[in-house]
Amino acid sequence: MKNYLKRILLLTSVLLFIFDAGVLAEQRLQVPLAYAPDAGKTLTRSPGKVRVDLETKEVTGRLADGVEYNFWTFGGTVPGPIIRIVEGDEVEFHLNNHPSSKMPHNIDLHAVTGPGGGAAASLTAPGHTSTFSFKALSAGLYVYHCATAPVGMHIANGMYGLILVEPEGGLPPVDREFYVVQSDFYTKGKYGQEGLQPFSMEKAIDEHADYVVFNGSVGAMVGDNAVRAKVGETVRLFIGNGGPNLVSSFHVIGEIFDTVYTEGGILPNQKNVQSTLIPAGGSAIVEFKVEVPGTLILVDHSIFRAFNKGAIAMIKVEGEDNSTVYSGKQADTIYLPEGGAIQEVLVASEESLTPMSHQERLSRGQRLYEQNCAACHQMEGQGIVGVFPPLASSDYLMEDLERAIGIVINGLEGEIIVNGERYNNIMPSQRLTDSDIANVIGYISNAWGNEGRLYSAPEVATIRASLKSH
Amino acid sequence: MKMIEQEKFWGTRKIWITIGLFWVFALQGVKAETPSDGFEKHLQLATMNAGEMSHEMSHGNHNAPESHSPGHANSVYQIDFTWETQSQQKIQSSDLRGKFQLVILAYTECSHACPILVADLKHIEGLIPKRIQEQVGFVFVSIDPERDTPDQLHQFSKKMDLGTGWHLLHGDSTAVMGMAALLGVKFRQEPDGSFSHSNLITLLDPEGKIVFRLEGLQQNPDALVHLIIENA
Amino acid sequence: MKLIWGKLFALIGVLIALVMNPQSVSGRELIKIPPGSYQSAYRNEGDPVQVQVDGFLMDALPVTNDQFFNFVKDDQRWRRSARNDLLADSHYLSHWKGDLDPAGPNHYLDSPVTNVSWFAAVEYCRSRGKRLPTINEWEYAASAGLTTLEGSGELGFNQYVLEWYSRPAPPVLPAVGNSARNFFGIGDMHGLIWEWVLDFNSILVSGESRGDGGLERELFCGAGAIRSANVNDYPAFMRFGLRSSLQARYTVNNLGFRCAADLLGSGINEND
Repeated sequence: MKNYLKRILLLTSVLLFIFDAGVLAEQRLQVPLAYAPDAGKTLTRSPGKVRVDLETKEVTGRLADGVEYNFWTFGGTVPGPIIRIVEGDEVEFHLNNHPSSKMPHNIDLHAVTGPGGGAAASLTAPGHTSTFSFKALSAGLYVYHCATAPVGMHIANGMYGLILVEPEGGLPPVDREFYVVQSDFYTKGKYGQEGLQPFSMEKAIDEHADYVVFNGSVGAMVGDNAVRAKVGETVRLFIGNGGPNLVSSFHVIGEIFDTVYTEGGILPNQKNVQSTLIPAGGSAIVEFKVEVPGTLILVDHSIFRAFNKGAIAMIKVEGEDNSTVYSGKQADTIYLPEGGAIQEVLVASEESLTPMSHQERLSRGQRLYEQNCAACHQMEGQGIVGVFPPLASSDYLMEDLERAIGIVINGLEGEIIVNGERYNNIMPSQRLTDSDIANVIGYISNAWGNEGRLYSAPEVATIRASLKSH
Repeated sequence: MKMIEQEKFWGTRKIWITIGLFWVFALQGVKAETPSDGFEKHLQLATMNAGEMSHEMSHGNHNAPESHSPGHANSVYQIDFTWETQSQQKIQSSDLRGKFQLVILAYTECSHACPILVADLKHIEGLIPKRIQEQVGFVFVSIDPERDTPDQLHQFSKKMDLGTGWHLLHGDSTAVMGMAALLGVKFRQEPDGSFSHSNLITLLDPEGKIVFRLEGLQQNPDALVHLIIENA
Repeated sequence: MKLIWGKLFALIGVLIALVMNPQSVSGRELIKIPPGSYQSAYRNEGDPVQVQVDGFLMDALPVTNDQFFNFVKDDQRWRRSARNDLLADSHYLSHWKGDLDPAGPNHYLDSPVTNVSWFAAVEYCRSRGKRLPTINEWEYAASAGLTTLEGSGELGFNQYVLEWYSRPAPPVLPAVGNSARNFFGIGDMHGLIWEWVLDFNSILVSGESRGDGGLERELFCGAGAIRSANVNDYPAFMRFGLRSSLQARYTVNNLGFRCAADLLGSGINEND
């Protein structure tokens, strides 16, 4: 009798266990989201049932120094987070529209095969959630974006990101992976004009971008925000182009791409590439091994976007020198590929009519520096060794401030020696008003350990006039 | 002797401990997974299965998107509209209680989709096993009350060969608009007098709660039928 | 004697006011909108470009928290604690401190009432002898500029309307009536809140707006394709987009409403 009972108990337990395991298998894995420049972790799991929760939210934030913008976002950031899943995954997607949103939003994932890429099923009013399911049929690096009318405006305001569908087993391992998205912004005011800038539909239609940036704002991945790598490491970049309009000629100054997965496909189909095209609403994967220390500069090689609209990002490589690979000088043809004539930089700047205090002038000077000079001379005036001379504790600068003023007015070419280093680059002349030049020189000559004085606008005017007469 | 006895002592207990652990583990899993209302679990399954199935059916072709979940768990009969049926009977919405009801909003003059919608419903009717046929009804609410008088509805039901389980309803514009709002059906009248409307089949449970929405024409009704059979 | 004369004058004054302006007795104005037409941002194939609209009456301003409070005071079925999930979702009147306390930190009593569902809006208007405006009525009333009938023809009008969407939500929702009235005499059509309309569910677009050129034959049975008639009217696209994302029971914290009425035979009940 006892034996019989035992057998029954054993049998029911085993059956319950099987049922339980089956039920557990129904549970969905929550997909983690990673925010740029972090690219999340490589996946080695096999495909299964997963769940993604993504929030849309309208957030006011920094587009550039002194410039604010009302971004429409996925996950509260521009770009939205990177979603990593495996080919074959069955995804249950939850799109949550934050109650503070003004607009309804939806999502079109280029990884989805089905009407609108999910857009039809996911139109969500503020404060509500939509759910839809899809199967990730094809591995690759895909863009996702909002597709609510007017679509251009939703994208232009920042609603894009990348979804990586890894082949089963994951991509070949590398030491570092980073996530970068290029995009363009259109504001009512000009580049650098301060305050909360509204979106300009006219400029967006004309494809006349004011800002072209990596990861959602000017300087998002520059200086202290640069990512880091070590000499000898292999680096993989997942790069997206949210658009809305511009195609990117993506290039990393100081590197050649060892491998390129063109247009974000799953075939590593090209080697030894300098610049790769990333279509608007598209992506690319590039890999390279960093051989020497220094700063690698990511740019859109439609070059005025880099230096005048913000399309610059950086990877700081640390480690031992390797002088056979690189002796310490970098190619310097990027500024003026066609010749040695100094070109003028047109920077509109409004003449301030109200007199400013000493502090206001220094603040204004700092703003001007960050918008016009920091791209090359860097935020702390440290420059880039061998490429752009430093201004911080710079002997060349401080020994003759009037000469510096002249350089800002007229530009400079030819070899100079600053703090014992040779520099032979070309600085374009800056089209700034006299008072702005006085303010920016005032700022740099008083920052980072420099001890100078504040010039006045009339003094600058005098210098300008005397230079003309030469 | 002692060793063997010890072995025996632990032997049986080992088995009991393992069985006990199995039970603990199993019960934990069951508790976590089964919602208190068994019907709701089927609801979750229903919405998921529809999505999986519709996507497995086609890769990249036009295919209806996954239906939105109903969003609330209340009976639509709480708003008790008055209707007149094709047999000129006056009924209230709440009179539909007690059976599963498959509801569409359409009109008789419609030449394209409405005949297909009706055919879709008849197809589902055919899939319902005989033993529960009495528990399932079909409701056609006309969005064209001006032209779709009860008599016109009667003619239509004859033409489409609709059986006794069918109610074709005529209501005033408030009732029609209210029903559309409750079910999430979109419609509008065009300048030429025709109507544009969502192609949607809504399944109401015997209490009048929305438990399934099948969007589009000629959609696979298996999940919907399964839901009815499970809970009839 | 003097007292009687005073009262008589007062009575005559009231009678004159009634005769002159029958709608403004309680101070909540109804504006008469004359018949006319407007260019719809969306239209179906075969529809005329200009949509004709009959004359009708419309609230000058959106319904406020104060006015809605008067409504729920009388009709307890619409109080927050009595909420029926079929007719309003869980955020219904969530910005009020209590069932009968319409105040809250993020709005004034005179701010437009939000977090109300279509059913609630319909009921409110019905209780006042009015109704919700239709899409055509609302869009027509909104198309007027400040000084002319054609807002889109006025310099800066479109940009002004579009800029509302570029601004973040204000920490406190402003009161109604603080912006200039448009040419019809209606205020706050732009720049304050979204508004419910009677036939909000008549927009047969799927939410996949890039495919809206051809009315999805699968999802919608109907006459033809929806075309964009005016590609520059982005605010109108956005209003259409919002309406098509709504269900009748939804509440949204920047979606309110105003009432309208037919010109003839309206049993308007102004006991606000």
